[in-house]
Amino acid sequence: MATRIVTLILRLCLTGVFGIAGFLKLNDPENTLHAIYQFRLLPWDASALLATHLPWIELVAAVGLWIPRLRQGAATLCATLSLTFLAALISALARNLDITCGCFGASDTATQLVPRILMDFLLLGASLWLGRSPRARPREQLPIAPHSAN
Amino acid sequence: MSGIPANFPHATPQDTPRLSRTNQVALLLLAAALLSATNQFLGIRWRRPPEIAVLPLSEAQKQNVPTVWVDVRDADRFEREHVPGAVSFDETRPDSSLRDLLRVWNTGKRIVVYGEGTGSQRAQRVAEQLKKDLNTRSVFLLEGGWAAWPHASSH
Repeated sequence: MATRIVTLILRLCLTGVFGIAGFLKLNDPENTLHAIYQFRLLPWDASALLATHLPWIELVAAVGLWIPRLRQGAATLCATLSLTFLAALISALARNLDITCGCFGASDTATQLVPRILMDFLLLGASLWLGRSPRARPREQLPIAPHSAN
Repeated sequence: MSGIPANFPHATPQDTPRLSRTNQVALLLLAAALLSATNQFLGIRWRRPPEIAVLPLSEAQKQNVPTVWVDVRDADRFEREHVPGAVSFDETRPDSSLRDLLRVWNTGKRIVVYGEGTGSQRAQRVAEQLKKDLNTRSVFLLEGGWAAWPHASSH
């Protein structure tokens, strides 16, 4: 029971974070592109390509967490996104870049990168929890079907 | 479905073949790609930012070149410390900031914009805007931003 509650809370959190992030990025595509480009990891055209797809990937992952047959895939997608964001943020921190992370669309103030990195670790942990194999989860006992005597 | 006896009354969706994790991810990415195609209908056009030249500190500090420094950091940071003679530019109040700038700027002076550090997106945006509004090519970014300024307190 406790596991199910934890799972539900984590799913709600991940849906909230990725759903809101995707929606805000979609709402402000120009700044999303600039936010990606300022990391100086991708050329302009590749940044534009990523800015086109990233908000939708986040939204689809958030919705997928609520579709039983796609839940594991969605959690894997969330984990991959979190890992990618982590790598980008850590690299920005290492290069001492004064940037906005662009995680939730445009932001006027420079992002404190360390809290964002910590948040991404939490997201990664939650995604891995939700994406773990069903065999690792305790299964509910199904009622034993009575045999019909034919 | 083939492994489940037809007369088994407790067959659940969990007993039917599941998509593999890879296939689930592929399906979700495909959905995202299809949805991304709607961006065209939303009228999204990517505008490439004009290239703003970045000046190293030694070049920006040259005494023989009249320079107006534009500080785009938050007002409290500006109040605490700034490049001597710099004008604070609040991006959220562009009109009044531009008026302040025009009091000290003329076409014979170059403008050097700085933010907190390297790659400040705010400095980039303001520099682009000034280049357009003032119709001058003489707008630059300070390499390393305020952090590169001598004796700048660490933040």
